[in-house]
Amino acid sequence: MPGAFDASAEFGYDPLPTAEEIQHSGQNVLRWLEAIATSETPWAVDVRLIQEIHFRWFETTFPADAGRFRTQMVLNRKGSAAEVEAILPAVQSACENWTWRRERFRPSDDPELIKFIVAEANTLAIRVYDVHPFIDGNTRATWHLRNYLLMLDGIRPLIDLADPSSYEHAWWSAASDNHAQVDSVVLNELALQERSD
Amino acid sequence: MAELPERWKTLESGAPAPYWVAAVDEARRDINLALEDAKPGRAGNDDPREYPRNMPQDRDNLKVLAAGRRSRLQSNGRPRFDLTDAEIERSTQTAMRLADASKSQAEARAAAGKPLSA
Repeated sequence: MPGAFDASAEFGYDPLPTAEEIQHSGQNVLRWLEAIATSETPWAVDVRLIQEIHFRWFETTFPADAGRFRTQMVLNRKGSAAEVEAILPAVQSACENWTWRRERFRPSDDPELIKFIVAEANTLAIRVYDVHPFIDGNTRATWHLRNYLLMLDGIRPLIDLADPSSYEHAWWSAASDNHAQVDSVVLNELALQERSD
Repeated sequence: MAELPERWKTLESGAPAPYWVAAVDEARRDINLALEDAKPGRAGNDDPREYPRNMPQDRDNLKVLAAGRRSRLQSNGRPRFDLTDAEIERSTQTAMRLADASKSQAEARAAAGKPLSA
């Protein structure tokens, strides 16, 4: 069974140019997120931001679904997708919780601050992925969402994965309240990147 | 569309509730409960979450990341990254690969009638 975003009508239902265009759009998303994360007035972390990230990823390939929460049930790898009626409150709650914790618990000093930034970014990315608000493209949207959360607090985005299998194993088995393994893997990957710069 | 839960069909007064009134109430309740759960003093919330244990390797990583972060902060308090086109491309490619892996695994356990989603 094909995935929802495999072949776009805008590209003659051909998977290859569709994937190339999605890749191109995804690059523009990250460039845009870098610009707003470093600006004097970064975007707030809320439902609008998440919808905008998804919209920009898929507006040229799947315009009818880009940035819109799904209206039907889907099957995702973790089998975690929320009921349609629960999507908006769940995503809103996840964003507000991230903001609330950042305002109250954010340590002022390293190295606790670094751990906090990475762990809280993972929490929100996992929560949004698990709700699975969009018909497709949730992995890609939450990847750049986490990159935005990292950049917002001065950490470079995740670029490559030196150990993709460790990352995947940690990511697919993570829960929003239990993701120490993802935190550790992401910290390791980010530090590898930092050392190579 | 799935049948609405019974509690969404009427207001407390017993009058029929428009769908959106009940949905907004429900969302507010969920948010308030989540915020309540996250308050200091509730179990496990006095301190930030349990973060990765401080293994020697983690301590080194944290030091490296902290130094990098400090070097990127500008006088206005905002960071600066200057990501290269190649870095932007590679990060996006990584996301694309993860999405493919996600979908192929979901396919293996696909149930009829539900679109696969990554």
